[in-house]
Amino acid sequence: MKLSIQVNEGPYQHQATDSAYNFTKAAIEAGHEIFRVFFYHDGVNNGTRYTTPPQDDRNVVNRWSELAEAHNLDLVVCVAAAQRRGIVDEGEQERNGKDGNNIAPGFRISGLGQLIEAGIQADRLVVFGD
Amino acid sequence: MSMLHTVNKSPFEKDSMTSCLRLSADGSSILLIEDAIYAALDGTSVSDSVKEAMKSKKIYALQEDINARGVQGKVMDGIEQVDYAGFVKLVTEHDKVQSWV
Amino acid sequence: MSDVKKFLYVNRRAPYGSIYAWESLEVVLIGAAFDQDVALAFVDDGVYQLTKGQDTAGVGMKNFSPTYSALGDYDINKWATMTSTRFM
Repeated sequence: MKLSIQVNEGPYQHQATDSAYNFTKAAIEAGHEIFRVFFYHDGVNNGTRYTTPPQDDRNVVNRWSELAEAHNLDLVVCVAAAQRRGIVDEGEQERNGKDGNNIAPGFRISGLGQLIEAGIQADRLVVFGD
Repeated sequence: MSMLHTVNKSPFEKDSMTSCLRLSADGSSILLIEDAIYAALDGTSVSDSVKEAMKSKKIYALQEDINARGVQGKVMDGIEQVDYAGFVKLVTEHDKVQSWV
Repeated sequence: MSDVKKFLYVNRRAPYGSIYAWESLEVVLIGAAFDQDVALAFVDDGVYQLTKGQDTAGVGMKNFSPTYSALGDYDINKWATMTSTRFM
């Protein structure tokens, strides 16, 4: 089955992204196709590579990046929500004249249309949030 | 049409569990995750309303979240415990998923 | 994308105290371009999004409440609000 996941909260503050990650991993293990993981609201904060948790804690951002790498996942960060919260890729850096970017490997920034498309194309859309 | 609802908030802090019970159709399934695990416990001020709902709806609770909170053995009878693989199965077995976030 | 799906946007948050109401409205506006079968429900504190007379000048935030009235222009005409004890 084709599944899409929506993540509405950032790392560490809420369990939402942990739940979404565990769910996504289990879905892949069960042989389902993940059409897209869409990060919205504060969920865009899952996409910064500047996250540096203590050594003895999980690295939520790296975990997503590694899962994306291993299973060719499409991790999409909403551009409007990202701009508000300072999540920047090279394109956004150039467009908005920023002095750097912070997007983590495996993530890409794109429009809200990607969320609607995820809802249309997938058989189920599962939302994780606060 | 069968629908799966997920609730993730403690019923003592937010009203998402109450709203879910009120607005979900009979025959629906409800999966309790994260802090909604506390709605699955027996002997609390909301246990009776959950038991009442169980007459017309099937209620599940996520094992990993139960264990994390140290409330193994306190979950009321009639609530089925599932792991993440079971969560995925529930999603695929129902036509739609509504998350009460 | 020719297949039409039913989308129900469930709004359960009050405006301004958090960004959920505003960013959810952005989803609705973008989604309108996809010609899907769209409906909105306002439940719990979501009903406060529809309060008349919102004036955000003093809090320095954008007042997005006029947008709801304009949704008809986007062919979004299916609305539901729950009977609520949240209005006195």
